[in-house]
Amino acid sequence: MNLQSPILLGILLSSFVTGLVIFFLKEESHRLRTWLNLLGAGVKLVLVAVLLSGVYRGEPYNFAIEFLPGIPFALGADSNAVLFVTLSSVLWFCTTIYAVGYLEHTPHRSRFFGFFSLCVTATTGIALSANLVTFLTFYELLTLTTYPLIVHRGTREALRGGKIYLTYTLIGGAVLLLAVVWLHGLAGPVVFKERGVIQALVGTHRGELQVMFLLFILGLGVKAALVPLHGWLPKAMVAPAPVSALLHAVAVVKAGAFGIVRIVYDVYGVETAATLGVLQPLAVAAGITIVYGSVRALFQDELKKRLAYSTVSQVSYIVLGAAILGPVATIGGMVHLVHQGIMKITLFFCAGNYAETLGTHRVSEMNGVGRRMPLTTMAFTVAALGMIGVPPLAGYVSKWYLQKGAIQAGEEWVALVLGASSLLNAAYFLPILYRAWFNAPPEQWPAEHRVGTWETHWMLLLPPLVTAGLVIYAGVFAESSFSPLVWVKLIAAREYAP
Amino acid sequence: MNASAIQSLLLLAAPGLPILAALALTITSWRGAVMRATPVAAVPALLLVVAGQSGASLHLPSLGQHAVLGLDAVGRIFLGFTSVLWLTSGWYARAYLAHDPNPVRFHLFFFLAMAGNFGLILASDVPTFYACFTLMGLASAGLVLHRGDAEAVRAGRVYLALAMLGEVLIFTGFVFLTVSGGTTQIAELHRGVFSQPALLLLLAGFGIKAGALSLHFWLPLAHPAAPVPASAVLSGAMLKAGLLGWIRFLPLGEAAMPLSGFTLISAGLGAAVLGTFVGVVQKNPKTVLAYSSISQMGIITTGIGIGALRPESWLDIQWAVLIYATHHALAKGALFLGIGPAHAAQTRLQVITARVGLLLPALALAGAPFTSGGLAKVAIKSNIAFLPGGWADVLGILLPLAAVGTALKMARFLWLTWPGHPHPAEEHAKGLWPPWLCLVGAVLVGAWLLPGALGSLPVKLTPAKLWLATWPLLVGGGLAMLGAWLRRWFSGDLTRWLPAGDLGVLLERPLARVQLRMSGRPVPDHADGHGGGSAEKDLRGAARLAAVGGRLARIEDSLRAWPVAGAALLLLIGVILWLLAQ
Repeated sequence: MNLQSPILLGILLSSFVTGLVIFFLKEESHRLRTWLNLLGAGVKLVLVAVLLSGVYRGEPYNFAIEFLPGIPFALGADSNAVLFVTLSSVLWFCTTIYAVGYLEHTPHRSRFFGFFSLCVTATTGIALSANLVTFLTFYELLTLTTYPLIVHRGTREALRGGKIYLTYTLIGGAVLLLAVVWLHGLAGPVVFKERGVIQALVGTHRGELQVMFLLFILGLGVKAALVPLHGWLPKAMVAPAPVSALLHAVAVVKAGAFGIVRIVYDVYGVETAATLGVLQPLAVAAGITIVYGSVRALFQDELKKRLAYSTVSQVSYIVLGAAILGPVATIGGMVHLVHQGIMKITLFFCAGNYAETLGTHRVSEMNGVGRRMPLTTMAFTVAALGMIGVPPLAGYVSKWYLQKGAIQAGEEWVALVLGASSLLNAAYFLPILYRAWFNAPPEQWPAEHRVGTWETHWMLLLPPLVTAGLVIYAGVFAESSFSPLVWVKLIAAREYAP
Repeated sequence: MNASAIQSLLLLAAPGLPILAALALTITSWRGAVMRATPVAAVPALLLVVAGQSGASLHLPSLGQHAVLGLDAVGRIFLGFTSVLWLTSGWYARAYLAHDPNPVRFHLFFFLAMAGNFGLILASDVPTFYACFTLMGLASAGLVLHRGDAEAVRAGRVYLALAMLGEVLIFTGFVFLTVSGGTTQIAELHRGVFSQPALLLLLAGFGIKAGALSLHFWLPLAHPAAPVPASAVLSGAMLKAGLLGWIRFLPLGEAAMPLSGFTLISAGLGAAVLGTFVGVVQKNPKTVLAYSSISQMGIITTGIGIGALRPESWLDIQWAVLIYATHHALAKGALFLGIGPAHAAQTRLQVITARVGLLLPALALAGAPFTSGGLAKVAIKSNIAFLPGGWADVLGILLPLAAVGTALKMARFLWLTWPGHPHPAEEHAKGLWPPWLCLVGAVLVGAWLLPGALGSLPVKLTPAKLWLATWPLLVGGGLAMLGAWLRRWFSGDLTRWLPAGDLGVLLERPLARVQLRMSGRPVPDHADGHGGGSAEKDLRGAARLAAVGGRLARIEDSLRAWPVAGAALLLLIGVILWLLAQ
């Protein structure tokens, strides 16, 4: 154990301990709970910043204790891990502020924030896992800690959504477990490593590795919402807005996508996977998901449902990037891990603001919301344009690199997928923007609450403005010295290092 | 401050000042002042045209993917007519929007579109060009939609659909282009092998913006729907962005492209013909002008096509195209802006001024001798003699016919707007006159300021040459009179058969149904839409579409049923066994 390992443990504990303490707080101790939440999120943010600068300088970070016989519980911080952990800690901080504002005066807040912190702990653990078994542990922990958040409201619809969620993710987890055990039997303990760890087996166990890859993708594809395994996601949007925001941007869906990234790059190694011939089918599955999700989004009148199908589509950009061989495609996919996160969390924050302030849940009720809530709608506009891929916003940068990588790899068909996706995104986002800005507002909103001096409570307003600012920053200053893109280029350079 | 710092500042201010103006509009107390100063936003661009050094460039390494702004010879000419148009239109907008309910929103989109338009002309790298092009395209949707009535919404929907399609085509083309060229700097792009997909994608993508045939139908809907000052910049300046895209990104002058050349010439001539037939029957003067733009851009498209066939004389052709573009931009802008004063002319002096002011750009567009149009026509014609195959003959016949068509459309336009009866004038209309008259003045001198324009004047104007330039005008005028005379016996509405938006009208129904399904309310019948379905039919279409959506949802739900999951599991096991057996 070296001096740097306490940081890794600290990052995990900052939310874990917070969560445990909050469970025992009285429902009324609002102030204390809020401060604890913010303290936990703040400490994590600082620790992650230290980690980020350390990994950038090339310092090694690892932590391991004996866990199962012969298999350690191991944490590590390679460049992939740091990307994901930075994303989750920054967005967790924003979502904590948002959730405090959103859940004011509602029952069961201690339960909510307790599981909320545990959920973040699990996500952080997924990011920092250094071997497959640790990853699997946190992955399952995430499944379980998210369930109470989805059913938080306790309505019939919420319980039904939660049941569907559990059924899908537990079966997916079982398939994943099968794949992990099989691979262990074949290769021994699997430690994540750039360029993969199974090259030696390709000659002798080709068929088995292909089957295992299929199982890995099926297991992880449930959370990553690959079609046709995505059915739980639109049902899970019954959760409160901050949960949906986290679920779609960093926690569950992202964990699945990050898992696929880990399997492709750090277990199989992208070049090995290409020689096994498993990348092409994955790319096709991602392409189908991208188009299908967008088509389904077109038909949804409920705003959060439309956003949910949009997530189905956009998360597969990450998978598509992983499934195309070449550093540029890797950059496009990995950077979308961050870009999709900041764009989608903005959209869900805004959807929550409309629902909470005006009582509007449907696209058809959004006439004139731009006049009533200009700042929220501005943030929504930025994120929606980013999703379409309008330059110079974040989504455009992802699309540029994905497209370029696909052309360099000779996969020209991807141009059709990305083109169709952009057009469909425009078709389901631009009418919302038109309604919001150009149509006259109704005489009375479905259920209006006036809070504070701003258009809504400042704790609901600030987070989407900050994340929308990040969407602009990540696009306009993509190639400056500090941006997600620069970090992702580092990842690609390490993955394809000669 | 030294000279190069001033150059950099001008390069930055040309797109930067309009952006700042747009941002300033968000501060409530500044709005009035900003909107009064609209034309000032175009001043840095105009200064750059006058005082900018060719070759000046500004690197912004941390912005975008290393953004570079620069000024070259082609850019200077484009920036010339573009900045004059934005300046006069912005000035005009001040009076035009005096009683508009939403002036702030109009100005916001006006400034953003202006910034995009200046930026794409100065962009020296592909991503910056694309970003500015998109900014202009999306912001001008706000201008088209501005009025907010059924016609504007319809126009805006068609415009946005086509604009987004164009964005996607251009984006994909750009990625292909930068991959094959190995750089994002425009000047260095064509050193490598030119990628064929990029060629096709960019031809079509910029074709949408330039209103090329079969991709043009958004234009006669959008231009009339926008407020007059916006129509002027849409038709005069923004269409030319498509042309600039072709000039910048196609390998013109480097390789002969027979297929592209053939396509461009056919599409261009087709647009010239179609614009005439549909244009002359329109009842809205702005729609007539929009169809005239389609015809005129058709001639320019033909010019680009000639360049694609004859790379060795590209520089001559490019010069002719630039003259034509400048001439058309200014004259068309002046005609659009003239609609307001023509309507508001009150005193005898005003009526006469309005008549002269409309007649001059109309004559120029029709290509009368000694006008910029005459100069532009000669410039284009001088390039067709060397064309391979039968093209020289075909063009020799068709170009004068196109001129006849233009004369006819101009007659139609003047017929519809001719100032005569004094109206009860509105006070704010006074402010429309100065910007319009300035633009008319620019029409008179503009094209002659281009390098080499004066020198190209034929030294000896023989009567034969004069006749060659005049007869299409006379024929056009004669036909117009004949038409007006025939109209006494025929009172049917020709726009029933040739509606504004021609091809687009065919596509509109299915698109409207999609929209209807999404909005959940009936789409109103269009004021000038011809025939088509009743509201009931629309609803049935919507029900069908809803059924499709519902079916998808049911299929998805059935995936959650246990028997399906069990069957899938069995299938999966089968696949695994099959893979392992291999």
